[in-house]
Amino acid sequence: MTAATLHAMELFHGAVALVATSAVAWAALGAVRGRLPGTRLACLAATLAAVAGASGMALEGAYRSRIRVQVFARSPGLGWLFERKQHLAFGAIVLALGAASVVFALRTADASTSPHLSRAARRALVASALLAAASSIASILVAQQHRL
Amino acid sequence: MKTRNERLLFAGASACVVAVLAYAAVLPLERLLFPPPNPATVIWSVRSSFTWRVLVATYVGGMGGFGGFAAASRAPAASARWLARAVILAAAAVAITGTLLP
Repeated sequence: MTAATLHAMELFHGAVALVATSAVAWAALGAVRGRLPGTRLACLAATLAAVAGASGMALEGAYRSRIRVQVFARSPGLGWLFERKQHLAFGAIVLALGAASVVFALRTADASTSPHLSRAARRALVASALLAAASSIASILVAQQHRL
Repeated sequence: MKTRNERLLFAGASACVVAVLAYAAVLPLERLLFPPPNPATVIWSVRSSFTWRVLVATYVGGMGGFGGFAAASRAPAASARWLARAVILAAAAVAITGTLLP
């Protein structure tokens, strides 16, 4: 992978991750106000989160071989912040996918399960939004300091 | 949950929650059993611990999906109630372990 390709992929990953964070936060805000997102918004947020995760996984090899050692050599604190960000991002992405799955299940849910599923979807969306926001902020801090 | 589709969607949600719980469990175990070397001194490593953690969590999550499908068939209301509780547990677990154990 050339440096230009790597840089383009980093920009793509960063942009998609920020849009995904906004989409999940938008859905979570609606859920907190008592209105769960429709299947379209839930599907959009989960898809964006999945694309951000897939592009992040595609960058993992290049991060380990080219970037990680530089970041840690410059500032161990920044390096550990980026490692923390990976854990939080995994939680955010997978919970967004789970929330979308529950939102779809709610379409045909009966009265006995509907309140519990609504609660699960709301909690998953809020947790995903908080984890995604923390992950995005950590990424921005590291990128700003390291000028990736 | 009467329809098969509904149970499959519930199984997907269960798989996601179990995967997050598994990730949060694997991280401290890995740090305890295989302490990582100083990243500033490692130029390159063949094995990506993050990738393996994700794969293990996905595998365990898949098993959780089967469990979720079975639970949704037998006790739909109870399994939906437990899913709502497990979401909080999973989110808290990954936030705490992810923050304390980078």
